[in-house]
Amino acid sequence: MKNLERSRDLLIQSASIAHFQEAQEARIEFTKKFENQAKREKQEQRLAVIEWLSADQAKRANTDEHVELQQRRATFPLTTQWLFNMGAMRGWLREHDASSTIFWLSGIPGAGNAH
Amino acid sequence: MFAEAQVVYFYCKCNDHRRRTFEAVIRTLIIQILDLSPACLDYLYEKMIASSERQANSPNLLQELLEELCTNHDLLCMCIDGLDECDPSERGLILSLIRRITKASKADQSVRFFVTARKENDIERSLSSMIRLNIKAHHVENDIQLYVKAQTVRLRDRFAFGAVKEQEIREKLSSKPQGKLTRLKAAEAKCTS
Repeated sequence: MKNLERSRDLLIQSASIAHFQEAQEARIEFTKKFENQAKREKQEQRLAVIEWLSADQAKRANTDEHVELQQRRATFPLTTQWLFNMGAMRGWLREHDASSTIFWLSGIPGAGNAH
Repeated sequence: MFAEAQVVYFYCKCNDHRRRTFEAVIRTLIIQILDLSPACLDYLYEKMIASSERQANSPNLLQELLEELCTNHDLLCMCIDGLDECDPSERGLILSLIRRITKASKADQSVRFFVTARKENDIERSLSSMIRLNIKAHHVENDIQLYVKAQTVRLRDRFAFGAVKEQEIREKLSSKPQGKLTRLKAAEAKCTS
């Protein structure tokens, strides 16, 4: 009799564990679905905003220029260091007490301002 | 250090209609800020829903969006290259925008502008309190020597000439630029022709 009762208890325990596991899996699945849905919505919102701002052309042209300059910089990594050693630039880069928040680098055409 | 800031940029170009207007500058900067900080999406989406414009075309609205994004952003560095390449009227609007954002973020200095442009009176007048550095020949001398060295090696490998010729070309190229990379490139083209 006692054995039967123990078996019944074990059976109930196993059923509870299985039920708990099932519920947990369902919860994980639901969370995943919810997250994916939220992600899709954000992506759709993002595309709508980009379309609304109609910045595609300007952004593409700007990025092309940036990539080209990055490639040039990668070929000559040691150039332009002089600028970051200058007091004026160090002052501008200070986080809190910059002497001005605007830095204007001017030069004759072809001096390499863009680099 | 402010060097930890996120960076957005715009390269103005006078012969490219996509890169010489106030609107193009604003639109591109907004999109870049959105790319860097996806949290901005909620604000932009709300503005889009609330707007009566099918596409955000009003300069005032675009300006408002950028100002709001900038002033609520942690450490942001905005680079505008070749501002002088925009027409004076467009440049005036861009300068006015720079002044407004600078004023709005003055307290914590969280937004910085790095502008490159030739000397123009309107820029000087407009940004009177800025830090200004005029590139002189001696600043870029070392950069030019590095460039000449690399290009001479490239030419030597391409045309298989000896050390004497290499030195001759290096001296010739080094004597040309006087602070101008464009002159150097022209001299280099002459050597290869």
